[in-house]
Amino acid sequence: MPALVRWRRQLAMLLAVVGPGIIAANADNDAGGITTLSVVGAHYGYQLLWVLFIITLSLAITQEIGARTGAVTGKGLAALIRENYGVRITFFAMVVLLVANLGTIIAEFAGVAAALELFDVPRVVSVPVAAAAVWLLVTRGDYKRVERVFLAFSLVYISYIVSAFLVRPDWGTVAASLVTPTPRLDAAYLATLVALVGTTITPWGQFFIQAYVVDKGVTDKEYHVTRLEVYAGALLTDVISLFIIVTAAVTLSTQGVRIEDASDAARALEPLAGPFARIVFAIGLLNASLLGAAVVPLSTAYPICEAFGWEAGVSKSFREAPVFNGLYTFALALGALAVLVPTLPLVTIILLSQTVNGVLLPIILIFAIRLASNRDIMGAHANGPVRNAVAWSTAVVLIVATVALLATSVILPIFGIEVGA
Amino acid sequence: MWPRTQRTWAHKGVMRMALLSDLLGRPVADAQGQSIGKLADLLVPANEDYPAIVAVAIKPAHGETLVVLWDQVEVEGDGRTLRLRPMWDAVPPYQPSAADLFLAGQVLDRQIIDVNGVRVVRANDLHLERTNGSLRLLSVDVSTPGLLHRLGIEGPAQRLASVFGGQLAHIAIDWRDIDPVETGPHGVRLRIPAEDVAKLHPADLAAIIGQLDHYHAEQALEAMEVEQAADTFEEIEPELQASLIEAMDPERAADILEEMDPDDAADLLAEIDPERQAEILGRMEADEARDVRELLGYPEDSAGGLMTTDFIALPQHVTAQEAIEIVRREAAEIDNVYTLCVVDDDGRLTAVLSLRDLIVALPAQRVGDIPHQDPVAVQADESQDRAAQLIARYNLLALPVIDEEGRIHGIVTVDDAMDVILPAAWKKRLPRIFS
Repeated sequence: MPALVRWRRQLAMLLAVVGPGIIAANADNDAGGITTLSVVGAHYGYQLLWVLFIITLSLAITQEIGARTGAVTGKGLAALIRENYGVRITFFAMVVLLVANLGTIIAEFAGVAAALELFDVPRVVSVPVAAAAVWLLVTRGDYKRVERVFLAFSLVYISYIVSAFLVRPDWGTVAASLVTPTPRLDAAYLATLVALVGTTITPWGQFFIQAYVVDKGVTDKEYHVTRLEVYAGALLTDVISLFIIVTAAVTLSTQGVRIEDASDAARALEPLAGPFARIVFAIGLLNASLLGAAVVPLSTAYPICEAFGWEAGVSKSFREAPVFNGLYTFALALGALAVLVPTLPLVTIILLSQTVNGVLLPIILIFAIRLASNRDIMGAHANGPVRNAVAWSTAVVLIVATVALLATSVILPIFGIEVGA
Repeated sequence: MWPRTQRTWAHKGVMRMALLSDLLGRPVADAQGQSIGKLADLLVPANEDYPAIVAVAIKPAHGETLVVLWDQVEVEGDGRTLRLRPMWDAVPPYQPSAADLFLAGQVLDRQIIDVNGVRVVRANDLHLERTNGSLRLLSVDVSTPGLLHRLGIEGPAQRLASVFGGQLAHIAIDWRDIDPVETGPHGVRLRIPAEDVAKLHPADLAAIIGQLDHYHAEQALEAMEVEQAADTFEEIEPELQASLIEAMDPERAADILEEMDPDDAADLLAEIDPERQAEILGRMEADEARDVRELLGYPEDSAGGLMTTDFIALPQHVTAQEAIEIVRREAAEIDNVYTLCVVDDDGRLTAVLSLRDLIVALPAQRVGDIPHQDPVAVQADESQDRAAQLIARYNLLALPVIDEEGRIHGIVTVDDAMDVILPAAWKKRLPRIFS
C-alpha cells in the first residue's frame, strides 16, 4: 500500500509541476488560437511561419517575466501596477484589459457557436446554454476538477500533430520558412500577423501566468523550476501552433480554400479523420472555447478586483463580493449576447478579437517589463539586458505593426473575407 | 436622509481635513519663494495611534529625493505650497529610521489589514487633519468614492448620485484599527499588538493570511506564538498550507505540526516534497512523528487517511470511575472526549461508549460491563465515503477505525466526515443557509 501511495503522490507532484505549462499552452490555443492558426495556414501557407518562430522567443520571455515577478513579489500584476503607478494609470490599464478580454470572450462564444453549428445546433440554443453551464460550473461547481477534464480533452490537439505528418509536408520548406522573414505591407497580411501575435501572447495571459505562480506560492528560492516549466510551456504552445498551421497550409492553402466558417477549417483534419474530421474538429474547438470561456472572465474579474481592493473569489456570494461576481457575470453575458446576432460572421469576429488583443498587448507588456526591471521591486532578480531587449522589441514591433496596419487599412474587410458570407 | 454635515463631508471634505492624494505632488518652494520641487511623501512614526507627520520627502526637479523634518517646512498662505524655512542647500537631511512609515510609499494604494473588520483591503486615500501647525494621520479611506476622487471624477459622480436621491459615502477606517502590510526594507513589524492578535479567531487570522501575498503571510505566521500559528494553520486552505510550511524553517514547522491534530498534520505533510517531509518529521517529537507517519501510510481517500490518532481508548477492565480519570487526564491533548473506545488486552475494539454512558454508570462498574450496542466501525482501507456514510447513518460524533483483526487505530470525527460529504464551495455557503 505505501508504495502505491508514494507513487500517487509523485504523480500528483509531477502534475502540479507540469500544470502551468500545459494550462498556458492550452489557454493560448483557445477558440481564437485554433481559428487564427487555421486561417494563417490556409490563407498564407508558410508565409507567416517566421513570425511564429520569433514570437516563440517572445512568448517564453514575456511569460518568464510575469512568472518571475510573481515569484519575487508574491503579488499579481494588477496589484503591482496599482502600487507603483497609482489609481489613474491603473484605471487605464484595467480598461485596456477589460476591452481585450471582452473581445476574447466574444471569440470563445463564437467558437462555441461555430463548433456546434457543425452539428446543426443553432447558436441561439448553444451559446446561452454554454454560458449558463460555464457560469454555474465556475461559481457553484468544483472548477478545479472540471479543468482537468478540459485538459484531458485538449489531447485532441494531438490529431493536428498526427495530421501534419500524414499530409507529408516538405519539412525542408517548413524549416526554411521559419527563419525567412517575408514582411509585406498590405492590410490583410498585417492584420493576420497582429492576430497571430495577439492569439499567442495575450494581455490576459500576462496576468494569468503571474497570478498562477503567486497562487502556487512559488518563491524566488524555488523559482528556477518554474522558469523551466514556463519555457517548456511556451515551446509546447508554439509546437502545437506550428502543426496546426502546417496542416492547414498543406490541406487548405494548396487547394485555395478560404476559411469562412468552421467547416472549412475542419477540412484540415480530413486526411486523418476522413468523414469524422468535422466531429474531431468540433470537439476540439468546443473544448477549447469552453475552457477559454471559463478562464478569461475570471482573468478579467480577478485582476480588476485585485487592483481596486474589492473582495474577490469564485466561492463568494454576490453580497460578499458584488463587484467580482458582477464583473464575472457581465463579461460572460456580454460575450455570449454579442454572438447571438444572427448574421454575425463568426470567423471574422474571432480574428478581429485576436487583432484587438495584439494591438492592446504592448500596453500591458510595457507595464510588465517596467515592473520586472525595477530594482526596488525585484532586487537582484530584475530583468537583465537580454530579456529586456527581447521584451521591448516585442512591444515595439507590435506597435509598429499596429501603426502599419492602421495606415494600410481603413476599416474591416481587412481579412480578405467576405463579411456576412 | 443623511444629516447635512455628513453630506458636505462626503462631498468636499471638512475644511481642516486633507487627503494625502491631494497633498502629493504639491509644489515646494525654498525660503525665497523659488520653486525647488514637489512633495513626494510624508513620514509618520509607525507605532503611534494618530501619528503626526515627522518628515516630508521632497523630489527636486533634478537629483535625489530629499527627506527633511516637518519643522523645517511651513504651509504658505495660499494653503497649497509648502515652503522650506532654511535655504535648500542648508537643510539638514533627515535619516528615516525603521520606525518611520512612508505614507505614499508603504500605505497609499497598498494592502492594509483592517483589524476590526478582519479583512485585507487597499488604501485608496489617507485622511489627515491639520491641528495648530501639525498634520496628523486619522484614517484610511477604503471606499469607492475614495477611488473616484483619485480619478478626479468624484464631483460628477456625486452629482449623478444626488439625481437619484443618494450620495456616495466615504468609508474610512480609523488608523488605530489598521495594520499596514508593507513594512519596507527595514524588516517586519506587526503593528497589531500581540495581545490583539491573540484575540482574533484562528479562522479570521487564516482568512487574513489567505489574502496576503506569500512573503507577508510567512512573516505574519512567524510573528505568532507556536500554538496560535498551529490553530491558524488548521484553518488555512491546503495548497497555501503546503507552500507556507515548505518555506518555513523546518524546526519551526515541526513545532507547529506537533501542535496540530495528527490527521491535519499528516494531510499537510502529504502535500509537500518528500525530502522536506522527512526533514520535518525528523525534527518532530518521536511519538507525534510516529502517529503522523502511520497516518501518512494510508491512501489519501481511505478511512485511514481521514482518521486521527487522537482518541481515548479505555481498557475494558477499568472502572467507570477510573475511566473518568483517564478522560480528564487525556482531555488536555485530545479534542474528542465524547466518544470512548473500549478495547481488550490485544487492542481489539469491544465497545464504543459515550461520555454520557460513563457518567451515568455506577462508579465501580467495569467499562467492559456497561451495556452497549454492537460497535459500528470502519476498516482502515475502506473508502472515506463509506466512513462518512456510516457517521451520517448512525448520527455519530466519531467512528472508530480498525484493522482486519479488529484492533483500533484511530477515529474519524464528524467534522472531517463533513468535508468528504460536502464539496468545498457548499460548505462555505452552509452558515448562510442555516443562519
